[in-house]
Order: sequence, then structure tokens, then C-alpha cells
Amino acid sequence: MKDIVLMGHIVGGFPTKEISLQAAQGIIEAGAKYLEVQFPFSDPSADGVIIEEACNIALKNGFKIQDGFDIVQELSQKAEILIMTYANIVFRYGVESFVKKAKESGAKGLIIPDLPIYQDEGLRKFAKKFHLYVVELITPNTTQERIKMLSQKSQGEFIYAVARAGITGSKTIISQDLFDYLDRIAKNCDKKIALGFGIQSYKQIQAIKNKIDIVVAGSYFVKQITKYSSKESLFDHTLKLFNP
Amino acid sequence: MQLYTKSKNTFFGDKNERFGGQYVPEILYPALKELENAYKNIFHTKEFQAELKELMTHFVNRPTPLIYAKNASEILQNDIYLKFEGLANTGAHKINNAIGQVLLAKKMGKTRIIAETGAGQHGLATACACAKLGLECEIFMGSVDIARQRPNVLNMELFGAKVRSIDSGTKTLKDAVNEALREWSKDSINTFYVLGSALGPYPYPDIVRDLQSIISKEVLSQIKHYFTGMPDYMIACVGGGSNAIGFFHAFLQKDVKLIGIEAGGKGNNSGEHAMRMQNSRDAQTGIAQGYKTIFLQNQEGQLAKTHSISAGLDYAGIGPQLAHLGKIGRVQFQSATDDEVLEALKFFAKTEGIIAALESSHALAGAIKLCQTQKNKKIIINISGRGDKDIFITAKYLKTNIWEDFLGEEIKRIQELKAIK
Repeated sequence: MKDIVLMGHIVGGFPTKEISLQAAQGIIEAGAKYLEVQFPFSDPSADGVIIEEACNIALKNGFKIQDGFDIVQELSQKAEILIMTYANIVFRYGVESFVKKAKESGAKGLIIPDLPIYQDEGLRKFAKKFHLYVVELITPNTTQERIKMLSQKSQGEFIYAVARAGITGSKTIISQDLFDYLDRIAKNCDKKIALGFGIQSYKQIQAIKNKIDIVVAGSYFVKQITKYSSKESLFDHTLKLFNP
Repeated sequence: MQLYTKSKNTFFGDKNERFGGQYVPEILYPALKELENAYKNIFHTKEFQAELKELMTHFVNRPTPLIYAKNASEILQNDIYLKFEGLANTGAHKINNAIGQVLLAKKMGKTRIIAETGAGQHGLATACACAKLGLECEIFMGSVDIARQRPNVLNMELFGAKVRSIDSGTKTLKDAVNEALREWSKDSINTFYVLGSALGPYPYPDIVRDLQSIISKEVLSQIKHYFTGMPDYMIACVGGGSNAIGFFHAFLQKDVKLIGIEAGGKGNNSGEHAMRMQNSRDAQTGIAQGYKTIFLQNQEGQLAKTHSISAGLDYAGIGPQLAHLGKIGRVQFQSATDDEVLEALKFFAKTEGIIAALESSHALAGAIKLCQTQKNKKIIINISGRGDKDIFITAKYLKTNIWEDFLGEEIKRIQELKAIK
């Protein structure tokens, strides 16, 4: 499994700030190079029910944006941290202030699905100013021209390929369509490929390891955190994803 | 400040303060581009408009009447006119939009329709349009809204639609919107998302306004039977605001005062309302559900819970064009509390023989308040829908004991019927 690296995912403050932090440490220690820290939003329209419910619980338990930055700061020496959240959280905080704070907290990149490339309230401009990268997303229905454009504009070393049409949390079937889609990206993109959405097993990773550089497991980890909240169990489950 | 009658580069308003846009994840980008193309190349053609007109006349039952409310006018000492959208098929203005979008979907070659609904009127109208035009239909509705609008759910199912209950978040309209957006992102190739109000990402606010503007175009022609010149005031309720923008549209550049009435719920200090345009501390510009507008939200950008006696006004955002019109002062916004709404409903039922929807009763309550300070003005109120659907809410408040007895007896009758079977 040396050619492929893992990006884990936690919802900051789910179920509590402390447990989300411990879980993150378990995931990192078991080998995740990247970690997405999701700042909960009340209406996460690009996420499925598992992550939505996790966000609701985190908010109910009093999550504040500052808690998210605290978690990032704590973890930033141990893995490459990406902050994932939605437009309104960033907009309301102030786009420039949010990016600046993200940088100061030690984050390396940002994923904001509803601040797309031509309507981003200055997100990419500020990211450049503060030396963070914004991850661009590609989906199976993105045209070749648009893949090229997004790849060229992408500020980071990788582009994030959404494995299937839809939202987070459902299982992705490894099929010829998926291989064709990954080939289409590879042909039109000069960046590394991170593949996410629906990755839940070692078998899936085995099947696609030669086609991608980074595998993203989001709902998988959030589900594990729902069941087992200790650092040790998350460590075990992270290993399980890479070693059956 | 410039008035926008339609969006420019997806927004309403200038750089300093603009609302609208397309703040959507990449997955929805192709679907929105396809819709933009259909709006430009199908919607505006003579053929499409002719087919739509035919449906509006012979299926929707347009024009709906403009009624002079003689008795209410005498009591309130103003000339009051009611644009009665309740006489459109399915009992509300929502059908104007639904039939237009479903027709557009059919022309685009889509086979399946999805829609979200709060009060149920949009779901009902969409299910009805799908039955007429022969498309598969699935309606997303918060479980709280299903509970308070059960008659509409039964009728949607009668039209052949599947109603999906949404149990996430607050279990109301905004959660149904989120779920419908998710569903659309799964299969936008075959599925068309019929958005119910003049909001969401571009081009929806423009499409919905265009389809609802038939209300104001009719009013413009109908007022000639009653008086010369323009009315003094026009009043509509505002949730997302599709009835309001449709009712105001043809009058935006005329000398008429336009008033939007929001849900005051249990009052301004209660925290249980849906007032987004009245400088409330919790109402701020934000970005959610694909567009930028004024949302009720907390200091951290989390959307707030809302409340209204009417499910249709119980929404955290407002259509971007109305947000723009409010900011430039072209539309003035006020509110009516749940109690004022019930009083207005009773007053117009008794004096004019019209049972307005709880949503529309907000506009009636706004008119009654206006009449306390104005005399001899010409006031037109948009009655966006009939109140039949609200009987499970209104009866509970207005005839508590009688309704309780009736329901008890009805349950007995159902049980007897079951026993016989």
C-alpha cells in the first residue's frame, strides 16, 4: 500500500471537542497523511445523513468556530490538515479573516464545496495571499474541458475526485465506469488525484490503488467515531481500512 | 439605487449589496448550466409560451378573479380588492410555477420530477402538474410539515406522487430543500428539480418570478374594470416570496407602494418567528442552499430555527430579488403575529365569504393594520391560496372543543369501518 496515502475525516466537535480530537489522533497515528477537519454547518447540503447528524450533534453540544481552529492547531504538527466547511461559515466569519485564522492555526488547505471557482467571495485570492491551497472538486459529470480548467486553477498538489454522483456516505461501487472516469481525470489533469465519497473498505482501495494517489474516507470514520470514540479503537479501524 | 427587475450575471443588486448567485457544489454545476440553457432557449420561445398559456387557461383556470371586497372596504374605510389565487387549480398560486417548470422539464427530456414543500401547496401543485403532463413525481417534505398538512399529503398521493418524509434537522422546509438538492445531485441527468419559490441558485429565482408574474399582469388588466390609474398599496405575504414577487412584478416600476408581510410568529422578542427583513439582530446576509440572501442565523453562521402558524412562511431565507427590493426600499416589509393572522382570517371569512390560507391571512392582517392609519386608499391584497388545507390548524385554535369531539367521533367511525372489513 506504499503508493497510496490516506486522508481521514472528522467532524470537529462530534460528539464532543475532546473525543473528536482523540479520534483524529488515532486516525493520524495509524497512518493518515492528510486529515479533513469539518467545521459543522446547520445545512450541509453536499453531505449525507451520517455527517449531517454528526454536525447537528456537534452544534447541539456547543461547537463554536474557535473550537474548530483549536482542533486544527492541536493536530497540525502531526498531519496535513484541511479545513472542510460550507460557504456561510466562512462568509459570516469574514472570508479573509477565516483564511488568515486557518493559516495561523496550521491548516494547509481548504475545501468549501459551495464556494465554487467563479463565485467564491475572494476565497482563492485570500488563500493565495496567506499561502493556503483551495482544493477543487471534480465529479463524474464534469466535462473534460472543465477538468482541465479546474486542474490548472487548483492551488494544491492534488485534485479531489468525487467517486460518484451524489453525496457523502453511500457506498461506491468499483466499476468500469469509475475506472473510465479516473482515466479521464488523469488525461486532463496534471495534479495528484484524491478520490473520495463512499470509500469504506480495504477491498475498494485495493481495486483502485494504481489509479489514484490519495484515498479519502469521510463517512467511514464518522461512522466509526459514532460507534467507538476512543483513540485506540479509531487507530485499529484506520489500520483495518488498509490491512484487513 | 438601481432597481433590478431581473438578475444580471446571476445577481440582483450592484457590487455593494447583491443577492442571488450560484453557490453550489461542483456536482450541481452541469445541471444548473443545462437549466440555464433551457431557460434561454426553450422557456422564452413562442412555442413554449403558447403551450404554457393554453395550460394556464384551460387547466389552471386563469385568470383568477380580482374581487372588490365591499363589506370589508366599508368597515375598514378603504377600497379593498382581493386577487383570489385560491381559485386556481389546487387552490393556490403555486400551480403557476409548477405547471411551467414541469412543462419545461418535459421539453428538456427529463423523466422524473422532484420537489420540496413546506405548507404542501407546492408539492400538491407539482404532483398535479406531473399527473397532467405524465411525469414521475417524488415530493420531499419535513415530517413536522407532514403532520400539520396531512390533507395535502393525501392529495399528493392521490395524484400519484410519492411523498418522502424528511426527519433530519428541524424536519421542516429547509431540511426538505437540503434533501431535494442531495437527490438532484445523485441523478440530474434524468431528474428535474421543481423549485417552489423564487429562490435557490440562478436561474430559479428568475424562472419562478417569470411564471408567477402572471398574477400581476392580470391585476394590471383587471384594475381597469374598477378604477383609473394605479392602486395606492399592494400587499402580499412573504415566505420565500414567490406569490409576492409575482404579484409585485408588473408594478415594480409604477407609482404604487408595495408591502410584504412576514411571519411575526409569537412576536419579535420570542425568537419564534420568520422575520428576515426587519433589521432583526438574527437576520444577516448569508450564503446557503445555493444562493446569497438574508437568512435568519446566529453569529456563527448557523441557520436559525423559524416559527410560523403557517408552514409556508416558516423559512429562514427570502428570495434574492425581494431581499434586493427590500434593501433599496422598493418593497416595505412588515409582519403579522399568529394571533393577528387568525383574527384577519376570521374577519375576511365573515365579511367577504373568503377563507384565505394562513399564509395569505398574513397579508390580510397587514392590510387591517394599514387601514388603521390610512383612509380612502385603493389597496390590493394577494390572497395567494385558499384556507381549506389549514383546517387541522385553524379548527384547533378557533373551535377547540368542537374539533376535538369531531376528531374523536371520526376515529371511532374509522375503527368501526375496519371492524366491518
